[in-house]
Amino acid sequence: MPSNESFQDRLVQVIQEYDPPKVEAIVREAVSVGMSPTEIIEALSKGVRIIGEKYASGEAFIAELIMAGEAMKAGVTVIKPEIVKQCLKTKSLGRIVIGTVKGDLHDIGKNIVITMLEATGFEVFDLGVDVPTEVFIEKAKEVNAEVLGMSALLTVSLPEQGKVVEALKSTGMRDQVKVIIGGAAVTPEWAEKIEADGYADNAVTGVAKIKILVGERSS
Amino acid sequence: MKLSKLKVLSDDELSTIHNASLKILSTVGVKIESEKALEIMKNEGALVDPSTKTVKMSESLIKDALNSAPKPVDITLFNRDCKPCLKLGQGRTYAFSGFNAIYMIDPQSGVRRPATKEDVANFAKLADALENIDGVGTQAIPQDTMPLSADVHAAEVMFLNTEKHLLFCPSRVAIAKTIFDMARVVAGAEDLGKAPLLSTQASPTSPLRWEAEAIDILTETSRNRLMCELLPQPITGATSPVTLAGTLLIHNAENLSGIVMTQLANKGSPVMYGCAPTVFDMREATPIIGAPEAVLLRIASVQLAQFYNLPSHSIAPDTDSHCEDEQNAWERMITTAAPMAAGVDMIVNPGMFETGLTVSFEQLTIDNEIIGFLHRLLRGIDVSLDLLAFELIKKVGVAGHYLKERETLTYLRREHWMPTISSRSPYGRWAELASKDVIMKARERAERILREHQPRPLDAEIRRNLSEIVKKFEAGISSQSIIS
Repeated sequence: MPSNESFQDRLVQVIQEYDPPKVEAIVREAVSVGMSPTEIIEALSKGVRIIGEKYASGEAFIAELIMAGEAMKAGVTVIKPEIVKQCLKTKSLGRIVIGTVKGDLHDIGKNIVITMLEATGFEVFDLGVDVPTEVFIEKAKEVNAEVLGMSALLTVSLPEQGKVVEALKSTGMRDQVKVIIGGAAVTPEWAEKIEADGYADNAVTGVAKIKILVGERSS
Repeated sequence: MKLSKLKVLSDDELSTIHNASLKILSTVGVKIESEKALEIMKNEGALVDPSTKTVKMSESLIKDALNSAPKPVDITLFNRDCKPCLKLGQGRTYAFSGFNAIYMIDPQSGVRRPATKEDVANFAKLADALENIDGVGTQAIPQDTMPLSADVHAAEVMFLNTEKHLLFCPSRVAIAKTIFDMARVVAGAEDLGKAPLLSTQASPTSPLRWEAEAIDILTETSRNRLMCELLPQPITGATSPVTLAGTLLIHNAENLSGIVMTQLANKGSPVMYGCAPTVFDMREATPIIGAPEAVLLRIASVQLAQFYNLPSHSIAPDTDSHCEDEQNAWERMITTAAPMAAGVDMIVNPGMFETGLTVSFEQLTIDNEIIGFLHRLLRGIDVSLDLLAFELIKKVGVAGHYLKERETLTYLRREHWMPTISSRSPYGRWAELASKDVIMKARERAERILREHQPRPLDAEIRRNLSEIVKKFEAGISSQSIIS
């Protein structure tokens, strides 16, 4: 019978083949030989991280990173019941609530950021698109988010990002939550104006900045 | 389908130029300043006037030559290992680095200085590694050797530093013979026609004149059954009529005269139709190559080559700019795109600017990128059922995305060109990586290649023999016995 170590290697490898059914099969095998859900998730995310690093250095395409993320999701779905049953807390770098602001339906960039955040080890709560201010606030409160991320592609939807920051202040949450904004319409000047904590114009920089923001918050 | 072929001449216009060229060659003729070549001409029935050294060529002589010259599909060029590497007539333009520049942009200081033998070696090494450079020409004439032996020194380091097919433009027939001797050493074979690992260029002096050395290089090349690339370069208003049509006429007649000579020297030897007429700037009194008229003349010349079903080559990329600026970029893009889109078989010149006087590592690396871009452009759009992706569109439906679909990855590389040095990152990421412009990126790529790339070394004995040939040649020059 193969050891847990060899299963770890296989899981890391299979993620890089971008083949969800194959990932599911190997995860099932891993479960049957007694590998723990935590170990399995760690191995799967290691596979995605490798692609994420390759993407950051220009060796892999974004489509590969997204597909690696999809392959990981397929694997995690298999062990989800087990995670729930054992009430397992998966190790996380931080909790992030993210969405495209109200009046804006663009999400491809946001989804890329989410894939990279998950691959890096963050717990991400995706609110989708056209997200009203109160939904951002409620979710951040509910999950005790460390970071709130907002995307906006249209200049006309920029003011919504400002409204969310104001709402964080008025609900007394501003000190607990770091705010990062991005999207084609966003400029560093705008970020400063609405008093966001961070800005990025691409996923790689965005994830790096979020890491820093989480570090600042916990210190 | 593929991108439509670029054309500027109608079928009637091609015939008009052809018929007028026959008349020029049978009435005006061409001056051939080599006794040897005149002898061959006379023996083959051309009308030779020994007093003026002028040869009048009949229509039948020209037609016979056009019939016996190999078609593009019948020509395959070999590499240093004497293996076939470049098959012509396949709808692909091959790019050869080059050619015979004098100056080099120093990679350390960024200052223009005379090129050296070491530079030529490095250029060959760089070209050996670049994915869109298919063959290697003499990038510069080394200025740190004896002028009369510079071509031979350059040839030595080219043989040493690249495995790709080589192209030479020797200035003397004695030099051509010496380079052929070097090629025999490298090939380990006497008959170069069976292992054509190199080709040469030969240029008439417009209008309608072949100097002795040029025509002797041509006959020597053909006798060895190597490919001779004709390179007439009439200059509008200076060495040809100021009109584009008149320049094409002189240019075509000169090409035809060269084709006749190659076939008389050795029937069936490969010859390439040159497509590089030049423009004269009447304000600066200087020949230029980055002009729209030059682009038109090149497209027309490629069409003429195809009219004769002969392989063609052009000089590209071309620019008259003295630096790596916007003029350089727009001129080299269009001067390369046009002949490629017209279907030229070979372009020679990547790496140079300033009307061909100066070369740089950065420029060669940038040209490699431009050529990659253009190869993709010419490939056009494939509308097969698979690529129409109808089923995939049904599967993803509305408002989803295609980044997680396997087909995206499957067809990505086939459908999309991946640049190596172009800037495509968002501003923030670009700024994080030191805001490098393409010249800086090209320099870094070239430096990395020169540091890491190792062309397969030649055997020690071959290296020694090459060096002996260079020494012997130089000794011969000193005693003035070689250059007559």
